[in-house]
Amino acid sequence: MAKKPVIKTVNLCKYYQMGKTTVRANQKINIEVYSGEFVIIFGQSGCGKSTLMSLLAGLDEPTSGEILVRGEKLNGLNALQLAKYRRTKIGMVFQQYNLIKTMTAVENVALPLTFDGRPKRLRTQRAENCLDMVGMQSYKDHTPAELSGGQQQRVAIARAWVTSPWIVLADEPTGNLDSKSANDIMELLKKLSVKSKRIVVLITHNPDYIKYADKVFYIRDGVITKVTGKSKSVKKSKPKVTLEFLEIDPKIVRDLKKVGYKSAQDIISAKISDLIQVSGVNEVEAAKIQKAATKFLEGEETGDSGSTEGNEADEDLEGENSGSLTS
Amino acid sequence: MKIRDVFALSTGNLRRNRMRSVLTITGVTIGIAAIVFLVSLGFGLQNLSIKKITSLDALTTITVSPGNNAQTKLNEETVNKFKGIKGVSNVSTTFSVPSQISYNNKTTDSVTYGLNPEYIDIEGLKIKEGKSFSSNDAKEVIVSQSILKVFDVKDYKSVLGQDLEVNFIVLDDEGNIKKIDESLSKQKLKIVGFVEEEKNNVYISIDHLKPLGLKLYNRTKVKVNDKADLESIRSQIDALGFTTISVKDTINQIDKVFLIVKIILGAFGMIALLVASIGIFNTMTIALLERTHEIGVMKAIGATDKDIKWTFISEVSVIGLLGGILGVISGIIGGYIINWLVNSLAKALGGEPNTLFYTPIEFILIAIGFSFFVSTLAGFYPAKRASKLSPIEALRYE
Repeated sequence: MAKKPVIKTVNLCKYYQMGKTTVRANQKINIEVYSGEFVIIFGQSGCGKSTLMSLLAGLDEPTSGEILVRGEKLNGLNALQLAKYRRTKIGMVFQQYNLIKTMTAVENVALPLTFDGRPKRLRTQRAENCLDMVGMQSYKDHTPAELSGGQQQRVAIARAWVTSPWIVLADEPTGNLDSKSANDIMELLKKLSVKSKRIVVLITHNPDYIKYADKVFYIRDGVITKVTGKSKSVKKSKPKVTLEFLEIDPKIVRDLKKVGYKSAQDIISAKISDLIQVSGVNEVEAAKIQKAATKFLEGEETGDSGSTEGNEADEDLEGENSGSLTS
Repeated sequence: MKIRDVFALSTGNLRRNRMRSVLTITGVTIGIAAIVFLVSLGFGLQNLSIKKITSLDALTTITVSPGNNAQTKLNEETVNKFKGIKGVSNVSTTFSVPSQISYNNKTTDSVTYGLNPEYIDIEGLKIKEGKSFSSNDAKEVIVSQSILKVFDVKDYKSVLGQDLEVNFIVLDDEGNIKKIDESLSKQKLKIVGFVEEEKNNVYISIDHLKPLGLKLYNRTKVKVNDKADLESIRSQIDALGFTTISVKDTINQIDKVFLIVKIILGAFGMIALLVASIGIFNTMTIALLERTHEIGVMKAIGATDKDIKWTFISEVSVIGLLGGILGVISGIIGGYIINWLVNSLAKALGGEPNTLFYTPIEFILIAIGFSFFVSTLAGFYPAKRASKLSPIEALRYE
């Protein structure tokens, strides 16, 4: 595995006390979700999938175990830090859309940025871009009451995307929609997920949607029973490491290409000394190439190439939305 | 979240349930209006009674009576001493002699005061009908109403211009009646005015008493230039051993009484404001229930507890501020209307118009501030509850 997971849970447990009985909503949940993945948590109602979602969103505290987001523990954060986490790293889509009824579409979408204290011009601009992205730009001044369920859900999706979060959590987003609108919403989520390379964690009990997922966690009675996936994370984890990527002198890159080397892998498979003789690079450059190649080999085992993904699709919010959970 | 956005959010919330917001603000308005109306009445009555018992002159006047020993007798020498004190503008002196007066063949005992016609205001003589002395040596007299009663006069005005015979009785140092030439002790004087007084007093120009050889003034009035100096000059005279009285004493008493009156009136108004603040509490608690789900959503998408709390608080602050401002305006307008009604009634019945309501600017500011404070206090608990809602439970709440 070349990548570090963005979301990782370690023996995550959540128990509720209902009267005298203890409900084990989540038991020893261990999942890993990687950058860009479209993940489905699949299970029947009451299986604990919504609880898991609340835990991931930082809305609820686990009874035991850990949630790590980009290596940082969620349980260690205080209320203020959690609010910040939800505001900037998480986008939420609900079954009931949950738009604020007194606000227009654009105000609703901008709301997370409002909470984040962004200036009005910026947040309106950004909200309009997101509305455009979900095809709701022309409805920006409508209130939720003037929109259909599917339209409201599109606005809600725009709201979830507005802060360029790391993770979008969608809890039965199609639960209140007719099948046509539901499919549209699924297509939209999938499209946005691919385009923006955001993680989408979708909760559903509808098996028809499994086809959209890169990875599916089957959950029953609070326990993960099965994990299936296209193992996209593994495939995607091998980035094309070209000579340009390693920042070697463009002139040498040209020379190396002339003699048939396309990537660092190629170089490693060739003998460095042969390489020097063939292409006539000097020793300093040769050492540099060797170092780059070695670095690459090490990265193959431990490196995090996740950071190379995701950001270009974002029109980033002043480039702030990276780094630690509470930054 | 920025303050401006908090404000925008809360005013949006106020607009969402317009009827309820208007009613809540009306409640506060009525409470504050009641307080402003009643306390203004207190202030107005206070001003009115001070005006009734005193003139501006009286506020700058100290009445000096003789002390207990020989050095503190009121004579020419001590008067000059008073005149020498810095800040004293002048000193008015009066002689008094027992006298017999006759009118229409009826005779009665009285006390005659001789005073300086120029200082008639300082002496606090309020002529009800007629006028003051035309000159220092004019043979004129001002009488009290009670004397007219003794003489059985029905129409007081009819005495103006009539003659009054006054017979002064002068005592020597031993207290025996001194023989005095009748041309000096018996005077025929024209009544030029009368004052509302329940003592058998008559007032004449001091010049008529001077030839009687009187040495001691019965009292002196010291007038000061600036009423701010009154207390310090008064204590200087006190230090000389004289007894002093100032209207200020009375006014201080009146102020004390009216402070209590205002507090009682304000307390009545407070009841209305208390009811209004319960109204605010009620409104915000209902708003909290209505918005529970929404608060859950807001928290889920990143609002902090503080954001939620301040949205609520800023909402009640707006209610308090608007209610305060409208309350002050309505209270003052209410005062005007009642004042106008009372004055129209008084006019119809032949009374004189009065200003019954007075609202000092400080009090207006205090009232608005108070409304703001009480409202915010009433909204604090619902706001705190809203901010402490668990997002996950709030989201489940329908």
